[in-house]
Amino acid sequence: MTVGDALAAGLGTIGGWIGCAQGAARRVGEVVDGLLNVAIRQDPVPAPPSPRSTPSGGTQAEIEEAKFYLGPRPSPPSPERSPGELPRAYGHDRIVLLPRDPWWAFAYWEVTPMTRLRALRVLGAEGEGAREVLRVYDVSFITFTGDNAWLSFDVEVTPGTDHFYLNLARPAASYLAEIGLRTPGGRFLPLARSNTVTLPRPEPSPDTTVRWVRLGRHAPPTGTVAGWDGERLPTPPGPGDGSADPWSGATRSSETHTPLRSSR
Amino acid sequence: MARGSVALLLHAHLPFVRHPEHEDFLEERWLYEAITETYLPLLEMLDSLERDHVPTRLTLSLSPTLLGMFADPLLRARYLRHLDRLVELAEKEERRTRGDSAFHRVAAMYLTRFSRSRAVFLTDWQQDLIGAFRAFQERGLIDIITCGATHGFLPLLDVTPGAVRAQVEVAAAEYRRFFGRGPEGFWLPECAYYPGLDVELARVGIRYFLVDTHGIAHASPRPVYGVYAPIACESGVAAFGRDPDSSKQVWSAEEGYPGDFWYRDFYRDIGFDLELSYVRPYLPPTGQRLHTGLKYHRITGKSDHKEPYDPDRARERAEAHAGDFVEARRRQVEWLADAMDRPPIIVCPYDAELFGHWWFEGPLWLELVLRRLATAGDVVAATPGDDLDRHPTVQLATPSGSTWGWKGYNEVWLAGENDWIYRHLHAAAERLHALCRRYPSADERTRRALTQALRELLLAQASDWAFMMSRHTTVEYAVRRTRDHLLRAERLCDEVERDAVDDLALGTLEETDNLFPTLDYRVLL
Repeated sequence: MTVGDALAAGLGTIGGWIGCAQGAARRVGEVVDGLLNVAIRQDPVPAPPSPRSTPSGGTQAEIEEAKFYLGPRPSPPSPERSPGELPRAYGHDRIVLLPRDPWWAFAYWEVTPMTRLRALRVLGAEGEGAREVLRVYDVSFITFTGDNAWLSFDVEVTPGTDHFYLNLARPAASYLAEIGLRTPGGRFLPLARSNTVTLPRPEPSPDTTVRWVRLGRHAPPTGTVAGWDGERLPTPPGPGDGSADPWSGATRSSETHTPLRSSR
Repeated sequence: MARGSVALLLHAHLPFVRHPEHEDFLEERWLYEAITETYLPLLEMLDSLERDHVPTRLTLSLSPTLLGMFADPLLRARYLRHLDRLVELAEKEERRTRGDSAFHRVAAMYLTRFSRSRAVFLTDWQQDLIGAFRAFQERGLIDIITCGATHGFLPLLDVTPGAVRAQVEVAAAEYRRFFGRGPEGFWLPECAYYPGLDVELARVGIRYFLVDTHGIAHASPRPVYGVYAPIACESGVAAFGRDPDSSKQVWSAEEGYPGDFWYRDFYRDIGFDLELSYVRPYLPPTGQRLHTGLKYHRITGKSDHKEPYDPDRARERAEAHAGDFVEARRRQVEWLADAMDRPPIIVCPYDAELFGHWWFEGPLWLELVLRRLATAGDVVAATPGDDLDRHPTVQLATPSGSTWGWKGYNEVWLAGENDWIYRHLHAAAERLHALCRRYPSADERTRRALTQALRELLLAQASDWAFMMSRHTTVEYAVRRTRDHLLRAERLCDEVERDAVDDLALGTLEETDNLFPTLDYRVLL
């Protein structure tokens, strides 16, 4: 059942579903690195360099850009990043995760005022002081049922924010996120759940199985054969001179990591 | 007997820039410049190779937006007008520079080139660039492959149903419309792959696609031959990986060939160097100074001081660089062939517009490379399709998510400057998908409205807009294009929902954004 379905079905159903999610959160919470969570909440660690603050792209991007270059323009390009007359909201509860690279994902979301109101009603007195958080789940190799994630962690978001760059710890892992309300007492009420993203692998695969297949021109591949006794060629370096995470010393996400947020 | 092969792939693409609402529109010049400086020189190169019976195998990706613009009568007529003015300017320049031997020879070179371009476009190919490339494909010199319908950045469109499928299927349909058969290869826009994308490609009969080096190096299971042999996804589609060495030799402005001090400088142009009143007839009606295409200097060095261009010395450098490139590939093949139990393939992908537009001598260099490869003996030019025909047994592995952009992943297209677009792109795609499902067999007017809404959505999805925002290049235009197409799609969806399609407005939109004339909204179902 999706959150949207739950909301449509009424508050009673939500209550049941929340209970289930809370159980999940408690269970997965046990395996979360507590220190990381503290770091997120209190954000005491100096921020790593912003993932992107100036236009930079190396020479290939400069050359690609040349096809749009008709000479220096008389006035600098408009810094406008706003969507103009595009809708500010679409009236649906939604959160979407997009992979950016092996370490970062971008989340954007919308929670309708009606959903927020309902949620606060559900929480009642408990909702006093509730904060909006992103709860991120590691769902690698599983079908997430709400209580079976490998681990989860929370990121508190500034009220009114509708997007965030998440610094995720494990490349090649799969994640999903919920936007929800967390009460001072620790109860989490999810308002929307995202799609699952799998981050790319920044290094050679540990799987060294060798299987061969014969590709037909207009036919499905045939004759899979396993095994090989040749010698592997050395692996070329990864992008940007190796596969090291440039922000490997970073804590998990915090507001200060968010690159150049557009103000609308 | 060749011990290995070199696959040169050129990706030709521009976003759809067609503005019938204005008599003279700045961004349409992207197309005109690319035709004059890249596409026509490539056709001339192929013609020259064919005339001399040089065995040639080159892979050319022609994006569906580019094909649409090549086929458009309005843009053809406007291009011809542009080219006529260019020839006229070159004639004036040839006269003006008489008495200045250094500049006059360059002016005369441009006059010869532009006059020849005009003859190639108008007389040789009757303005039909697609027919020209098709002819070379049919005669076996090139393999033409396709690309995303509007060059959508597929890893970030995958969250809404049908969005990636539409980019792939529309591209394949356009290819069939223009070339009479299905495409064998698919240039992933920005070489952006995510596991599972190959399944969409398999659905339209694609045999292979291309990824950046780390897409293969980090594939799973680990490929035994790295980027020097293709791998096969479980879907049966093969993936080839970019060779890092040859890439650097051409792409790098610092270390690569195009930065040679004897080559022509891209940035100095008479549009800025000469009196405004003199060049004004060749500038936009606003009188804004722009590049004209006549550039008289060579790179010279790292400072702003520029010496006059010397075409003969530049040609010598192109000869030397072609020799160096082929020799480097020969050495690579020699080393690799000993270590592999199949002949290696060195995959060299480039933006087509690098050749001629950015690197003026690029088409000449490419021709010289192809001529040398034809006689090199132990290394030959091949296409990825040729390689699969000769060596159909391939290691099973799935490439890792990757792009050929800065840092190798999605950061160019997902950054603070452009991340706001995805909320709107996804919302529009989702809404349109739902509407299409609601009207699986719509009446004629609804069909037209939904189809136009899809056309607008596809146009908004072009990765070029996000690229420009991220690179701070023509940001205003990129934002406007994204916004305008999304708003048009929104309005059409509103009208369909209210059963109040405005026939007149729809007709105007169909004439303005007239890409993909055989498009059918049901591709989203």
